[in-house]
Amino acid sequence: MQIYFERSGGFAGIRFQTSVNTEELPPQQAEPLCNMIHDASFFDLPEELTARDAGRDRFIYRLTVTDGERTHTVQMNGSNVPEKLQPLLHELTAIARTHRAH
Amino acid sequence: MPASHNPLFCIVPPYILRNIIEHGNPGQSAWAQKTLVQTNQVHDERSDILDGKKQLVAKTAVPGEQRVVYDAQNGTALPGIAVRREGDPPVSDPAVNEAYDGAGLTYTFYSEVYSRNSMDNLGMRIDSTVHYDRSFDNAFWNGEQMVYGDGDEDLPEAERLFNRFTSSLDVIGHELTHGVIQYEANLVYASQPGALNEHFADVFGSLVKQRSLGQTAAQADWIIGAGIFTANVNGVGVRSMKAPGTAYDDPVLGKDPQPAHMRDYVNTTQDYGGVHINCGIPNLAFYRTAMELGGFAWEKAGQIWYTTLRKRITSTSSFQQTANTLYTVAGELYGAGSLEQQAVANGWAFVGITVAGTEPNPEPEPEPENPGCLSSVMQFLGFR
Repeated sequence: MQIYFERSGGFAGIRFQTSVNTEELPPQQAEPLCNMIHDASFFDLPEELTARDAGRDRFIYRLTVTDGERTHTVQMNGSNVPEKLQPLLHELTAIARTHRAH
Repeated sequence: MPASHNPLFCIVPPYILRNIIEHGNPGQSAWAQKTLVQTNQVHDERSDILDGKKQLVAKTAVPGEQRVVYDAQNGTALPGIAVRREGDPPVSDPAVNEAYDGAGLTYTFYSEVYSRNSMDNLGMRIDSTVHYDRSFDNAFWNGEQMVYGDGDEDLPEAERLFNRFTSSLDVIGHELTHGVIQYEANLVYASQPGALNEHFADVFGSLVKQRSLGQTAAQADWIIGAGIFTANVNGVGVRSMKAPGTAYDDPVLGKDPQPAHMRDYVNTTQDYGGVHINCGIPNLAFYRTAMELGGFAWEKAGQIWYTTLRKRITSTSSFQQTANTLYTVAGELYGAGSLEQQAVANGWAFVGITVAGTEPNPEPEPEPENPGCLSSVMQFLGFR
C-alpha cells in the first residue's frame, strides 16, 4: 500500500509531507497503518471534505492511498476530519516530521 | 434603575459620527468611534424592546472584557470545560493563565487604542480553549472562539519543535484579530484576500505585543510567534515582518518560505492559496511604513490600517486595492500629501506595489498575479 500525506496551513504555515510504502516497512509498523486506513473506510470517504467556514489558521490535509488497482485522494481541513481518520493523521504527521529530519 | 446612557449619543446623529471617524484627527476619530458604538448599543437595545425580544428591566452595565477559558483536556470537543472566568484568580495551569491574560491584553489594546469593544465591537465574550488535541502544534480561530494546542509538550524533550501556543502574546493577538476581521472586512480566506486576512492578524498581533512592552517601531523585534519554537529549532519565530523569509532555517522545518516582494509572490493551492506565505509582502509594507513614521507603531500606522480594515476594504480586496485604500485613508486621517500618506506609498513601493496616483516604483514592476488565481483556489477549496 502506497500512502502520500501532506499537511499545510496552520498558524505557522509550515508544510509537512511524506510518502510511505507499507511493503517496505517492518510488519509491526505497516500493519497498524493498514488497519487505520481500513478502520476509517478510507476508500469510501468523499474526495472533498474541506469545510467552507472552517475558521482561520486550520490545517489542510491531503491524503492519497494506492492499494493495488485502487487509488483514492481525500482533502480535508481541521474542522472536518472524520473521527476514525484522526489516528492515521496523527501517525502520518509524526512520520512526516521524522522523515524531514533525515 | 433604568440602563444609563449619555444623552449626547442621541444628539449627534450617526452620519455625523461616521464623518468624524473618517475625516477627524485620530483623537476625534477615536471619540466618534466610541460614541457610535454606544449609540448603536442603545439603539439595538431599544429596538429589541420595541420588537418584544427583550423586556424593559433593570440592567447593570457590564464594563470591560468578559473572558472565559476552557480546557479541552487533549480532546477535540469545543469549547471544553470552563476553568477560569472573568475576575477569577489565576489557576495553577500556566496555559490557562496565558490565554486569560493574553485575551485581556488584546481586549485592552483594542479598547484603549481604537475604542473597540471586543471582536464584534459590541462586547462579545472572549472564549479561549487550551489543551486542544494531542501533539497539536497550532492555534486557530474557529469563527466563534480561539483554540490553542500544547505544541509538542507530550513528546520527549529532544524531539520537541513547538512550545504551547499560548506562550506567545502575539499569537493570541493574532487569533483574536481574526475575530475582528470577521466582523469587519471579513476577507475571504484564499489567495490575496486570505493573505491580507493573515497580514492584518499579524499586524495587530505584533502591535498588541509592542504596546504591552512599551516598544517603539525601532525597538520591536517584528517577529510573529517568538517563543513558539523550542531550542531544538534554528529560528527566531514563524514569521518576520521586517525581513520575510528569514525567521527560520531548520533541518526539520525547512526554510521560511515567505516572499518579501511581489516579484516573488507564490502561486500555490496549498495553505488556502499560500495565505501564510504571501502575507510576508504586506507585512513588510506595514513595517516599512511604521519605521518611516517612527514612534509607537500602533498610533499612526496602526490607526491607518485599523480604519482601512473597518469596512473600507471588501472581502475580496487584492493587495493593490488595499494599498490604494490605505493611501486614501492616510490622506483622510492626516492630510493629502502628508508624511503619513507618503509613508504608506513608500511602504508599498518597497514591496513592488505602486499606489494609484503616485509615482511608479523605480524598482522593476512585479509580475501581476494570475487574475484567475483567486477563483481557482476558491474552487479548489470548495467555495462556490
